[in-house]
Amino acid sequence: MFGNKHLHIDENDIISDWLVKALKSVTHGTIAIDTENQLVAHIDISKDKIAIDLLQPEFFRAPDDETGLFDKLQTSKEFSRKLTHNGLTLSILRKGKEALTLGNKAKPKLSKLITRTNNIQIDSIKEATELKRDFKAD
Amino acid sequence: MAQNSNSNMSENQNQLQTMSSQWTQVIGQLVEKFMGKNMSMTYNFENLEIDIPRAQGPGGRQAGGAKWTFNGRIVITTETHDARGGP
Repeated sequence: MFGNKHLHIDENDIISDWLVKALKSVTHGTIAIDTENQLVAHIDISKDKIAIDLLQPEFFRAPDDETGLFDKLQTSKEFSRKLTHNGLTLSILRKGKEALTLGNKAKPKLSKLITRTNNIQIDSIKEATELKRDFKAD
Repeated sequence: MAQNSNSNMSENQNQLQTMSSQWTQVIGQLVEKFMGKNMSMTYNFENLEIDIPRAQGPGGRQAGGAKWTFNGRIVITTETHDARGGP
């Protein structure tokens, strides 16, 4: 969809600013999303931490997504920086297992070598790789 | 000098347009996915608390903040219809 260019998020990007503010204003609670009686995602919000569990990650596959892992990481990097600035942490789980942590509470060790940022922590290389596979268009 | 400034402005506008069209594509795809044809999505909210911040109204008047709590279920069902009205 974007060729070799990742979806660039500018410092002053209105949409991502709105998204981060919206996330910050939700302080507590859960949202469960299901389709045809099957749970596809579960979102758990507690103070400044938002945990998104993708129970059926392939459901979130974008049909025309041609961006590579590097492109996605570039976009995540910019978004994660915004999360950190706002004291927010986004945890992404795949089928109940932690895959990635973005934002304030991300404490990358070895994964910094891959992501080259302090704002993204790869909790599990296995789950992160599977997630990448789930999202990738056939 | 004026020409340079005009060309910079047009470059910035082009960049903004590209960014906005990228976002539009992403949002469009997500909406299509979640509001897809002939499907039903259920959103279950459990004690979802949203802080509505204080706002400044006209004449510097302060509008008080609020806390909204959502409990319940929203079901969005979509159907396709033939635009020509035929069977």
